[in-house]
Amino acid sequence: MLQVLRVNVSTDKIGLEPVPAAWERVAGRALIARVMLDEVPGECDPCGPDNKLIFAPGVLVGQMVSSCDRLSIGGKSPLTGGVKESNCGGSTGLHIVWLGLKAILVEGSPPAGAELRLLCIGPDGAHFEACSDVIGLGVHETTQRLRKRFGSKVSIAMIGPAGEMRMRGAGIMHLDKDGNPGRISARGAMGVLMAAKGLKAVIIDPGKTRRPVLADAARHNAARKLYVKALAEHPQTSKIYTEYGTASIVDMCNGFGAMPTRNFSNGKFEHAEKINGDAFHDLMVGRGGEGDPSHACMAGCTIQCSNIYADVNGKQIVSPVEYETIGLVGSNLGISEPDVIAHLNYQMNDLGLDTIETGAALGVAAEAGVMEWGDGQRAMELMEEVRKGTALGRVIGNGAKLAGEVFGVQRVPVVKGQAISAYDPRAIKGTGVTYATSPQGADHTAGLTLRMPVDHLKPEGQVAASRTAQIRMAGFDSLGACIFGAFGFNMAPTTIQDLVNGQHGWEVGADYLTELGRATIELEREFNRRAGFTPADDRLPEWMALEALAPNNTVFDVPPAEMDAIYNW
Amino acid sequence: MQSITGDQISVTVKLHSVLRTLETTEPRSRVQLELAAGSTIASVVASLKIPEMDIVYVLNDSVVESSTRLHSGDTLALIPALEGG
Repeated sequence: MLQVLRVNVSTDKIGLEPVPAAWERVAGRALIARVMLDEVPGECDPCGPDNKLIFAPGVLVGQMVSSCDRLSIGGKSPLTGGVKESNCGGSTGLHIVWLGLKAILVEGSPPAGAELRLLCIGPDGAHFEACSDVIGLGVHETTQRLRKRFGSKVSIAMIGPAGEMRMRGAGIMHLDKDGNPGRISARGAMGVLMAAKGLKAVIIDPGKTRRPVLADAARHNAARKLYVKALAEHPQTSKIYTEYGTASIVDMCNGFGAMPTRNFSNGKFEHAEKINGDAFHDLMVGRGGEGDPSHACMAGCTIQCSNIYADVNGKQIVSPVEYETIGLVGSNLGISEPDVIAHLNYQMNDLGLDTIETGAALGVAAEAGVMEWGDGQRAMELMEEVRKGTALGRVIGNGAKLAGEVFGVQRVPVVKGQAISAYDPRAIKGTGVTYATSPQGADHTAGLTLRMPVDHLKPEGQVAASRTAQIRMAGFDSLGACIFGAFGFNMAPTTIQDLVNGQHGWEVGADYLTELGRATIELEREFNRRAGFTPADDRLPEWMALEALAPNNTVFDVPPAEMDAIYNW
Repeated sequence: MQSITGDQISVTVKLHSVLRTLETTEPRSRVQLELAAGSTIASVVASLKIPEMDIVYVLNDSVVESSTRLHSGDTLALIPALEGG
């Protein structure tokens, strides 16, 4: 039986608790929503003692089923002021479950002025340790030192300098299966919440623990085989994502006129072919060395959409380079050199920053004249400002909303204070509905509608498309499954319930994913209501309804009344 | 394919990601096709022997359906579809 690890950083009391009945059949994003309603006052200060930092692996985590070992991290967001769930791959979630934990709840506040420390969790219990030697260090150096100290088998969830300085673009970085700190719980300033709990890192040492015992191994194994076979037979998950990764979305989004370009002032980037999936693929293959267009972020993943990007000498610059980063740090800044994007990506990772939030903040800064469009060198200098903690650096590191306020820019691409990801909602309007209405704020993991059978440029049908996508994503984030696994699950639709029932013996039905998704969103909306959110918060910024986006010359025109009814199931 | 009128059109087809290596050992990202007047995108897909997969068609600057007719001088991009990322 899994247990809950409760950690109080005010008293340093650490204890294991049984899982409350209401939490038993939920996990991941759904569990975070449940905990938030049960234990976190809606009006609390996100950086105060009443907020909680929650680690919650998904329902399917722990068995190394392809793409199904994802971790949700959540709490009240210091960025949006609402509920937040930030999802990541890597090994952290897997090892939490191997230690027999359903969730880790960190609560309270450390004494004022206390130095950040480590929370170390292993088979023999949990304790705090000092970590003066890594305070102020970037994520890569921190990883090296902590792996030297704790061994190469541990998982690490850590913050970088941006999180330490409580910049609201800060996420929580994780190791991939190879020990590289390239995975991030990026959105919603979870790195600030971790700093507010006095933690530089959480060390998860699985020791000799392994996969939990299955309730029905035969059923689970049969479903796993069917699902993996479906993934292997689908062209998207056996070839396109595997060989070209998410960077291939550049061509699609540019084709739809939805590519964020120069602070969302255009939907088509004239240099898209220099930064598309083909360009990145050919550089990774052609340069050889450590570069690799196919890489698994989680052990056991057969899709392998991640990558390792190397320089001209074949030496790794960063792993991975993903579509959202290419969109926000590339076209959104007018940057068309893959190497520059990769170096900026590395710096943002090292600082522990969300590339979406930071790319959007840089776009706003560029519009204000702080940097020229396409000036990668200046963007790198601004990252140094972040590292030094200068006033300018703190403006950038705190995200697009603050940057817009400080620089006096009106075209600020945020909803609920969080940056819009790399799909301009005026040209993909269903995704715009998601950005507007999701309790998570504008979030690329809340329900994209790119492949929904709808005319993306017209307002009709967008609310229904977004509703379907949001429910599905909330379900997948609660399962701990990567959305790319959906290609396999769709071809073998009984496998979700068979995997869940084979693992836990819950006997869930065919509607489990939908029920989980709906229930999760309802809980999240109730938390946001308690936090003071109203329908007025469920809107895109006004300029998106007024300023037409080239080349389709469309504004966001989905009627607000329709969006307000999106959660009337 | 033979046109009733015998007219021919010339179309540039840009192939993306996995489509670049279809039936070739070296990647090809762009092909020039001479087609019968009135040809549709679907006929291009058939003539290139592209296996069944979800593809986004961008004709010049717009996303269109496979039933769209082509005209001389058009540039058609064939992009294998992805869900998100």
